[in-house]
Amino acid sequence: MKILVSRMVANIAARGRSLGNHFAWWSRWFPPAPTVDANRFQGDRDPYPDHWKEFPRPWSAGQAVESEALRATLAALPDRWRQVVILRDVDGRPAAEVAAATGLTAEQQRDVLNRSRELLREELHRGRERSRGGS
Amino acid sequence: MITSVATTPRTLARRLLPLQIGVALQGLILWVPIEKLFMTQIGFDAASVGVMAAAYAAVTPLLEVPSGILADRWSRSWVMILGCVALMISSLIGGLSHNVITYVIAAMVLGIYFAFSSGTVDSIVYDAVVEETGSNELYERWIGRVRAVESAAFVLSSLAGGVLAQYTSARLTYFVTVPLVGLAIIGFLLFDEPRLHQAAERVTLRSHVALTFRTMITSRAVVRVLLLAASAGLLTQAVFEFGPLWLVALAAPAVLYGPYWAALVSTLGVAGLLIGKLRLQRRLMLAVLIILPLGTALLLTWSRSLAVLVAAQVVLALVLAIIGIHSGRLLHDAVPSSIRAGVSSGAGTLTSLLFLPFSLVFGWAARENGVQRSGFLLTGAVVVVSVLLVVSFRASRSLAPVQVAVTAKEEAVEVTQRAHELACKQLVELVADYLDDALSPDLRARFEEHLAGCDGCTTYLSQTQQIIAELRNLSDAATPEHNR
Repeated sequence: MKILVSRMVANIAARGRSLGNHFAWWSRWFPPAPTVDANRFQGDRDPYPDHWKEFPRPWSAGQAVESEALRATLAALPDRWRQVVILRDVDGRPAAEVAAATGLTAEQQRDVLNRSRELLREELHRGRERSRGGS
Repeated sequence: MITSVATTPRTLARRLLPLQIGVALQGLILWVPIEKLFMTQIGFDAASVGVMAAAYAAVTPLLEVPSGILADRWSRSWVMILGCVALMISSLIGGLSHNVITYVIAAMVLGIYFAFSSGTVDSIVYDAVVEETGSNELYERWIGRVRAVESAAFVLSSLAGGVLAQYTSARLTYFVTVPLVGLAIIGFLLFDEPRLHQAAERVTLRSHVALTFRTMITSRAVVRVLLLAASAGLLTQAVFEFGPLWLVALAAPAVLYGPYWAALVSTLGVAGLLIGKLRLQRRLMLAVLIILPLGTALLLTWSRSLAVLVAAQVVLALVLAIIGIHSGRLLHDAVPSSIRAGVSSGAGTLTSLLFLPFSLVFGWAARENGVQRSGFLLTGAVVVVSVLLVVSFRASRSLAPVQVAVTAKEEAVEVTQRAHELACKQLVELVADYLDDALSPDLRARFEEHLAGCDGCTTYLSQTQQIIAELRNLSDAATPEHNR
């Protein structure tokens, strides 16, 4: 029962303070789940650690956000995330009300909101970059 | 602001229930406590037990990475189900075995099960928590609960397996395991799997792997702790793998194997509970952690009393579990978060690589000289662990303990408390708080100060605001998935 056992030891270790698992390969585990991909920021050895490697490219003025693309991306979000975004940003309900409706704390619904907005932003940004390259 | 005590939303608890049921049923492997007994019945000797252990220590690391990639690209629930199928096949082949060859094949199939299931539950729980709460703050609590359910299933199956083997036959425990694990599949099928990993854009594999390996090889602090973690892991595996051979040598009755195995397995949980209460920075504690395993390993080489041997193994396993947890923590503290899991899995792989030759040598020595004499190999390994423990003890005394933030946002706030300047990476975690006007006046001032001097973050914020504006517009048009 060798591997099972060292796995359990590792798991108890993980329970202590920091996370992770001896046998969890990196791809199956995401460290302090940052909102924006950690690779977008400079590393410890770069001149400005934790600052953008490359600034997000500004969207050209006057070009509205494509509502079709936005709606499609919104539909692809995890259920809970979509629920919070619809209540907060589409319907414009206040944080406290949304927290009560979803059973989350105000803090949790804000965390969900922050991640969802970033996912939407990133997905639409990628779509624009693609169409730029195409034209 | 940041709340330290987070509450679990009911939806999260409900969602994780089928997963817990699946994990519990999957833990009901009834043949585990009497495996060594059964193996000797079908013609294994100590040396071929060593070969079997090596064969299976070789399979798992090979499949770890591919199964992880499969879980990421396809479905984690289905990877768990494949693991269940491998476990069922392995139990069936094991139960039908009448010779060494077929049992070694069963062990290799079991290796597939371990590769598929190890770490997969962790990432499922992690993503489910992030999906339901937007943060990973509750991850530790929930993975702890899932592991507690799993350990309870292990203890239960140890006791039940021993009783079943005593009153029927050892072979039957293998066959009874098959339908129980089959039921676990239903639990995994009912589970609503998180799909975050499908939405996220992946990091390039090569750069991540390169960074991981560079850290493991070049940093002396990491190498030191890595060796400690791997050698403690090796010794733990050796106790669990070869410990039952002492009972076989003394012809212990089958019914004893259950409680024996349950005691051995429970040391893992007990160590987890104890570790928070022990002061591992003290010299006295260090002395205890060295003397106890040395004493118990020596006892294993000469005692002939069943009670003494079992007690010695349990104490040895307990101390090793404590050292294992401690070294895991040291390792996590020594590496940055982005490669923490990779480096930890390096420790696991290193353990397997060390265990492979160790099990062959131990098996050969146990056959030539008897299992008691080969206990000196365990003593030798204990000495190695002790030396590494002393070395890292001296090194860690000079370092201040590192506080690890639980969530990315906590990390962001911590940074702003230490240094005045906010970095872009921290700012993006606080955007929703900023727009909701939920930041403290001080943090808000720093947020705005950073914005004033950073074009990148200004663009980022304005894009986020454009998204919010457009979302608001969606409410005027009819949205199909949205009912007022």
